[in-house]
Amino acid sequence: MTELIFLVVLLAGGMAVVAVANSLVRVIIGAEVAIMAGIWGAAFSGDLSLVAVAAVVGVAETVLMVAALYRLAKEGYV
Amino acid sequence: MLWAVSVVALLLILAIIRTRDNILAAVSLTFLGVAVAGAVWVLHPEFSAAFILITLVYVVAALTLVIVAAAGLSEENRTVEMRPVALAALGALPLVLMPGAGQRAAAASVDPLIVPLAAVLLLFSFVVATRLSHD
Repeated sequence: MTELIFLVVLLAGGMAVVAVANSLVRVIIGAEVAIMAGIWGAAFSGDLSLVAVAAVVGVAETVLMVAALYRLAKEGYV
Repeated sequence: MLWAVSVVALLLILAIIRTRDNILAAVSLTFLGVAVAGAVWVLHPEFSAAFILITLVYVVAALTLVIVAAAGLSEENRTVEMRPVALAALGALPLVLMPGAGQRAAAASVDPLIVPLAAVLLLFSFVVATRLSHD
């Protein structure tokens, strides 16, 4: 039960960080917290392969979001 | 033991929400990553490789965010208009309380097929990121 509560804390916390964000950096941080919920869910299933996939996808989405943020900042939208 | 980690994670999320500084929020994200890695280690002690994996991922992610945030993003208190979408996503939360499969024995080895797939995914995202940030 504690595992599910931890998952809910991570998911709701990530969504709350996105919901109260006042800059795009905060949106990315909230998405990272939600990705952490994904990593926790993969670990909860008890398969290290799923944890590895979730961690790699976390790296990929971080790279893409930060690159998009950098592009937006260069064009003056942030 | 997992209760303590949950409380620490909740406090870190509240710190991210409360603080006005993007860099402090990114540092709190790093500690949250370490807390989640510790929770994985508490749940499955045979997943000690996952601790290193998750910690590295979030140290690198937060460092990147710190560098980008410190590279001159101006804080203008302009609201990002994503609140309805973010709040609508909360509607899916009761789904995690549905009954699922019980705890199985942990499989503490990585499928070798994941390695080339992960390499291709990372290469793809790095290429897209390079094309995106260099015009």
